[in-house]
Amino acid sequence: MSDLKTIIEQTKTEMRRGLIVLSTLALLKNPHYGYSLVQTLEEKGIPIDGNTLYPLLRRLEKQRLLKSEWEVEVSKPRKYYKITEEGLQVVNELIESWKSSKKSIQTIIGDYENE
Amino acid sequence: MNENLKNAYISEVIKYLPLSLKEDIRMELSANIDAQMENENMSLEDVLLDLGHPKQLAYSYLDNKEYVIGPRYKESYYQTLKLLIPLIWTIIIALDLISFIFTGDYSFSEISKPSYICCIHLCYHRFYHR
Repeated sequence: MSDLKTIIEQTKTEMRRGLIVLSTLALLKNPHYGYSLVQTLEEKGIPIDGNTLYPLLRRLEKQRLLKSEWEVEVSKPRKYYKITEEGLQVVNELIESWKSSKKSIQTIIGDYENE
Repeated sequence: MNENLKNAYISEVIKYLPLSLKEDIRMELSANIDAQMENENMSLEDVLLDLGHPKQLAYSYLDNKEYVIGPRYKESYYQTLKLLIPLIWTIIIALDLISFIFTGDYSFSEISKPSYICCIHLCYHRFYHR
């Protein structure tokens, strides 16, 4: 039983991985700092831990899909991330791919549930 | 007190990270921890438990690569190896020669055989494959 649970959890994580990248890029049309993005994702129904998101933001920045800027005027400086031109190109492709997959999967699930 | 715990946690995280990332991640992590405490009314302990083991978090920053020898020790590890390997070979060969001189016994120790093969190999490349 616990084996099945492991398989389910692993598969869910794999499915989520790409969607988190898509959501992160899409939400960063508006600048966010790390924790505020954790919150926003949670509000939208995609709970994610800081220890996953903070490193992800850095990876996406390294891949030049995001750029960051320190906001230092306030008493507590925060690092804000925003999407770049390259990031926009990538997220648009991802959204197209998600839309077409979603259609196909819905058909498959529809057939499966009606059988 | 709380400030100390936070700093200790963050220091433990960045200990495993390359120098170029340390300061930036220290500041960013600190700001994110503060924000989570304020917004969710959480204690520092709970926020840190949420973030998980410092070493694990540090590894997440390193492109999820698992290291046997982490970046922190890599340099000194290779330096030590470069120094130690020839030194140990030399000692083994010297001991073998001494034992040969004093006993006249040709059967060299098992452990030294790979060293001879390596030496021959190195000489071969040195002199015939310039």
